[in-house]
Amino acid sequence: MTADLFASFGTVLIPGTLALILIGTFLGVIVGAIPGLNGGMLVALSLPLTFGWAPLDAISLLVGEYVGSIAGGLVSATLLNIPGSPSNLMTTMDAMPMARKGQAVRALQLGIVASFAGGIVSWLALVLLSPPLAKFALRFGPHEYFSLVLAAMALIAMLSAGSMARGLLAGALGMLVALPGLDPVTAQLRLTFGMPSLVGGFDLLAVLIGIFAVSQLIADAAPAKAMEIMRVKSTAIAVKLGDFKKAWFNLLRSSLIGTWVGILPGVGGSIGSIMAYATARSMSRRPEEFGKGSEEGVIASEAANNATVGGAIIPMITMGIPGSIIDVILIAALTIHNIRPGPLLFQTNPEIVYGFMSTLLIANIAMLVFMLATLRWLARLMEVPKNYLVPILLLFCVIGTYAVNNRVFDVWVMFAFGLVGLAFRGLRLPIGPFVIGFILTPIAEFNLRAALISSDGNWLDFATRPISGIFVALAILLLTLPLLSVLKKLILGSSNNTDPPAT
Amino acid sequence: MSRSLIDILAATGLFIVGIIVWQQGASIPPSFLDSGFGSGFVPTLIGGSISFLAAILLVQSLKSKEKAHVSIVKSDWAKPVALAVLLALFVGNMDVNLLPFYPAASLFVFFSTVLLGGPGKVNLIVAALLAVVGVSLIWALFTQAFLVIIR
Repeated sequence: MTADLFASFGTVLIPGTLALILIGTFLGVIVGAIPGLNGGMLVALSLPLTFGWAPLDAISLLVGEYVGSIAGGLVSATLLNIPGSPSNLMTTMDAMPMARKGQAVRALQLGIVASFAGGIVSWLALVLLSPPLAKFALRFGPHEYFSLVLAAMALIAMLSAGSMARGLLAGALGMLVALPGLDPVTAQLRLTFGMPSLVGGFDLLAVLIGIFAVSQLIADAAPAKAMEIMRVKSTAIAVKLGDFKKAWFNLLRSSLIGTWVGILPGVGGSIGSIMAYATARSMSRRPEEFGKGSEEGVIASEAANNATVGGAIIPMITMGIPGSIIDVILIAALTIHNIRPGPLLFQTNPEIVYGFMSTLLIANIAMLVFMLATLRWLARLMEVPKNYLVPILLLFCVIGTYAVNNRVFDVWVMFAFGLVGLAFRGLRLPIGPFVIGFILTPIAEFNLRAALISSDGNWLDFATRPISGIFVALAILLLTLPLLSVLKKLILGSSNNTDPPAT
Repeated sequence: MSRSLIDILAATGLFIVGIIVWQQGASIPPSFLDSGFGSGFVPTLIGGSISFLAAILLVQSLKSKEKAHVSIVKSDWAKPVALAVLLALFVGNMDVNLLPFYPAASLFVFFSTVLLGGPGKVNLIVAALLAVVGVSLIWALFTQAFLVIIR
């Protein structure tokens, strides 16, 4: 493994590939720093550009964008009190108060170094945990795969913002979108409603660009409220090594929490950041400072959200299950290059597996250097008017979608799913379960039917096979606990529908 | 329109969608490869799940109808709706080919920028510049660097 990893560094450090990592990280940081734009949008929009590239080059650009966008959100969280991505939500709690006290540069620099530390810890986890996990996943048959997807969907629905019913409904709608077209087993047409264009189903990229990018860009057209922008007057080094010596335990703990949350299928940086922040506050000697400009809070949130990136890649390359929403797009990128992520990837395409590892480390280093060096300019991005960005980015969406199959139908699909994304926002349905349901349904359906055929229709086999049984038990546990409480509320007539808005 | 009414309408619509999917799945005839779990099996399961979950949402919304009356502010949606209409016109033009792609793209960028930034003199100049320079750069990027052919 060590030899493969070193060989991979040799491959990605050639000028062309290295340049793609640096460009990706640079773009990611910029997009992450601009309020209203996010990493999912950037990665989805960049995907069409990579069609003709070598798979490793595509991964280099996209992973760089992923790392950069999560870290870049720190800038708007600190200077504008708006998280650049949901992952930076907890950062706003303390970074903005620090900025108000005249410590904007210190808050940013603490956050950047914490992001880097989180990225390194999760990179170590990726390198050390992926090979044994992939070996373990080789034992999976159809029963285990279906049960794993079931447990992943239950977990995503439970942890998504809003009620669990909404999360499950969003997931079921995503699964529905994956069904039209030719049945992969019997080659029969289904749910095409007589439309020949639907014979091949909905194009993956058209759906992803529509739901991530178009919906966000159209929503961005709404008039923004006037906001207080904190200025960065000097970018001299405001943190010392001693600051991190004091905070090393918080840094390590938050990075490990972020990595662990990242490994959980479909659970993104926001949950990791919330959990790390809450843990840091509960274990702090000065919990009263949290929310008023606590440095511990900034470090915990930023270390954890960047650590989810490496953690989230682990289930993707070892089992083909996306660890976060952006991983859905990375799976799409691999699929376009005829690479199927999963335990066999270590044998069929080891250069891809180790390419992810080496790219992730280099992207984290690039993020650290780039953000520390360009803080003052990054701060100016808060003033970029969205009026000029939105039309050009929408044009990118149209051309990028058209480029996949040279079909205008796909552009209509993109537009329609842009409206679906807007409807989801309006109805407070989370987008995460939708896209993960969409990407996982082909795996789930194939394995469900294969499992039932091989066991003569005996559903009990899912529960009696040991590994599958654990996943089924987990899914049932996750699904029943909140549902029981909902039913109890309904029976008692005390449902008050106070769900927070979906993200 | 109150939020709970929107929820009720959406839940009802999704309930009907679930029923339609369930019915469509159930009506797929078995193929000679079928072993009891054919093409309609999963659509039936998912259609049923959507109806069930939509019914839960409907009950939740009905229960909370009298409590949550958050009105949706129409003016917040005026620009997004107008932008969506402009985008639909642009995509529609790709379908009927009334205007060649890149001139249509320039018009789309110009009108979208004016819509979002207002009809001020500076914004009109920037919109015109974006429409010409921005679209030319995109043309160069996609057709010369990445070979995407668009009529």
